[in-house]
Amino acid sequence: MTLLSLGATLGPVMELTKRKLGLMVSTAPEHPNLDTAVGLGRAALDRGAEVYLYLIDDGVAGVEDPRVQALADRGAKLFVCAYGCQKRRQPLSDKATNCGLVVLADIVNATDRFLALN
Amino acid sequence: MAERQPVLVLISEDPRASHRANEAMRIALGIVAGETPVDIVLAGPAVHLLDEDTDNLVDGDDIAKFRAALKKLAVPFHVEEGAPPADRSWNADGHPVAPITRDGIAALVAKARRFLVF
Repeated sequence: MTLLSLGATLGPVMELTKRKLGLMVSTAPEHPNLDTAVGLGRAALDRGAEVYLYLIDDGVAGVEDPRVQALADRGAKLFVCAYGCQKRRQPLSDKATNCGLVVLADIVNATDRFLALN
Repeated sequence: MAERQPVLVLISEDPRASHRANEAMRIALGIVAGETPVDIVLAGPAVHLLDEDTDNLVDGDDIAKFRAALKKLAVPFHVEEGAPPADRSWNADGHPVAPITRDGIAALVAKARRFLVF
């Protein structure tokens, strides 16, 4: 049995293949923004897109959040603002790429869609 | 070759009450450093990012540092009309500013490629 026999088409499924979605979250993990970002990231991955999630400002506290790590386990590229971690005396995590704003600028420029959740 | 569309950073957080105004300005600086054109708009109380006395601002030392870097890079601030205080000490450093109306902000939104709204 194939999806096609169920009336599904590959068109919508393949639509996002190889496309890039950039997400930035600047709010603390308790804020609904993180759920929104994770949900969007999950949906994009389901459809074959590449996902780049950049955590900044209060968002850096979410780097080891299970929701974020689940996204990374599925292939999302996870970045965390090293300055934000340092300012909050939060240890750098080996579960994300610790980086600076030039990486954010690259994500802003290189993705097909970019969403900042502030 | 078409002109590169700018990233619009719209800041309306009050730097007297929240660190997020400074963080937004820092992010804008980071994107400018990545050689991406950026339009920075200070709306409402965010104009206090240009207060002479940064002691009353959250992360005031950082604000002085980041806005000096933006001035050195000749990045102007679009400042919402009517928002700057009458105090003559405002923008004592002579940062290049351009007054902008709400309609003007809408026009910047229309020509921007990415948005960071704080």
